[in-house]
Amino acid sequence: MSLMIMAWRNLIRRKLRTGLTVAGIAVGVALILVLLSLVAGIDVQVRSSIRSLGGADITVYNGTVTGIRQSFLFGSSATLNESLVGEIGNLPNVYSVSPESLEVVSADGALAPVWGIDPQTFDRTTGGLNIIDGRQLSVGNENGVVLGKELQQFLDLSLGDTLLVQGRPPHDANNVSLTIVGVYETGQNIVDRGLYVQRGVVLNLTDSQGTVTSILVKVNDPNFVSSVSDEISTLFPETRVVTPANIIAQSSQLLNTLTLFFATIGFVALVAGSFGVINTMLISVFERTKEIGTMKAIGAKQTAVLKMFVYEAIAIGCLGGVIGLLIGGFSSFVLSEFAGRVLPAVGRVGARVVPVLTLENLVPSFILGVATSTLAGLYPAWRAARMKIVEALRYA
Amino acid sequence: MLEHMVETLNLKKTYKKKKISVDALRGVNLVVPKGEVVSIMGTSGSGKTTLLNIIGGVDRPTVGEVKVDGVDIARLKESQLAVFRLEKIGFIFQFYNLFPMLSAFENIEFPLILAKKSKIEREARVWSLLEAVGMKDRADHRPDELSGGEQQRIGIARALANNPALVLADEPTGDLDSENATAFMKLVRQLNKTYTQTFLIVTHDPIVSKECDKIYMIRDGELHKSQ
Repeated sequence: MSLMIMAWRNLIRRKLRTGLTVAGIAVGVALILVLLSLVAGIDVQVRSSIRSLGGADITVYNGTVTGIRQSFLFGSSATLNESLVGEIGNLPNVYSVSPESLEVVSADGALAPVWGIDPQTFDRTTGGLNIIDGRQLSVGNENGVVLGKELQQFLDLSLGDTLLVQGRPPHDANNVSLTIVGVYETGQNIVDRGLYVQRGVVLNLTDSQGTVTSILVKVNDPNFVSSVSDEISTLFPETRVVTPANIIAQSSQLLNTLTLFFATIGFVALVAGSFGVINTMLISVFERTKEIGTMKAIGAKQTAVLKMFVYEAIAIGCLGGVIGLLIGGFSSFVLSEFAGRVLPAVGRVGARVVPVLTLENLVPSFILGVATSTLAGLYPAWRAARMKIVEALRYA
Repeated sequence: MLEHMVETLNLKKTYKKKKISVDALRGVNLVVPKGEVVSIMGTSGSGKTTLLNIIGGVDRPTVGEVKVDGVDIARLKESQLAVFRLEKIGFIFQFYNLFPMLSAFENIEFPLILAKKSKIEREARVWSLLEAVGMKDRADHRPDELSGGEQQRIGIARALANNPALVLADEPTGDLDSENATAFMKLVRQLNKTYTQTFLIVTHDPIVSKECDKIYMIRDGELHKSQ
């Protein structure tokens, strides 16, 4: 229809100006897409972490240091006394408990987290690891190891191969040769870059007999989770108790804050872009005063003039939206790659946020761009539609 | 009654700018019979463009009546006026006022699109008008690729697109040389014969007025019959 053709030709008549205006919208759309896709990526990461906490209903850590991160990075400095395992196991409504010792070691030269477990109680408490090749660790096989899928791929090892595991300073004199019996996958990056061994192996490597990093607890019935975790906190004040429920609550709160923060930034960028649209369209309306007067004199109704300019704004929005999606999609991957290198990762075992580009964030980013541009075009279009014919025709 | 295309009665128009008010029209009584070519002559500032704008429904009188093809247009609402202009009036402008980003063909087609004519109807009408103004081979040219005389031919064709009852022209030869002005008037007479449109032309060009059936003079907002 010819109003659309006119709108389109008016845009390409002023290529540079249109291009700059489109860029304003594209930047806003790109920013929103980057932020949405990264937040979605973080969401995926957090969900898989929660899933990979395993079947344990409650995990008990040393509560005198600030968090999992510390216990993970500095290993033995954040442990609990082994005797707690038995004491918690004797509490009412507790079905089973399993000790876990976490350290960072060198596996064939690559830094990797190692979880030392007691296979029998571990399986009963968590339901066991998700083995994709080979078998689980078994009781009595002291020198067996199961590798995370990513570590296995990274080291390019197969079942039956030998892996040399060495402690880190000051325990770097300790080492042990293990035989690969299985490969697991949890979907959580950092866990899949690690390995599981008998707990005794970890204790020997780090000279930390008598300690545990965490205690996994399964209760008789899911309804007892909160009462048992309250009881553990009360009886053993040196501990910190983590349940899937409180992790979910914490992380979703964090994600909401992140989303709100990012949405505000993106919105501000789009508002800035919308001023560009208003400015361009107003100039365009003034430039075409005589044309508008002629259109109306010939018999175009106000709505026809309004439509023509709104089509222009929509076209700017669509162009900006498409270009913004391309730029945003590209830069979200670049950004996550970049962030993955900058964030303090444990050697090569870095947690990387993979941006999630789905219709769920592509469509809203695009629509926001088009809507902003269209809204911004309404005022100039209204000015054009309301123009007095006699004055417009007199305009040189 | 209906043999008159335009009839104004005691038409007055006063412009108020700040504290000064200017009487552009001081009681104009104009009759334009159907099917005639009538010119209104006058110097600039005499009120002739104001009169034309009021008859064309783009301006409103301060006092008085305007009947065009039997309709009292002073009573029409803005949206009704747009329909009136689309269906009953064809405008020809001094500087042609063609849409620069549309081809000659599309310029003529534009009023037909506004009138919601089908594509087949539009194409047939545009080609016959291009033929009538002798511009068939220029259909795909943009206005800036056409000479002034050629642009004005497209301007006439556009004005005639919806077969209006009345064609209004404001200084149509004001930007043309005498050769093109003569050709323009020849075309007007020819179209007036074939399509029986009434033409009302505001001008101060004698080439135009000598081809008209009637000439009115306007001076200081008052109309005088000249012939």
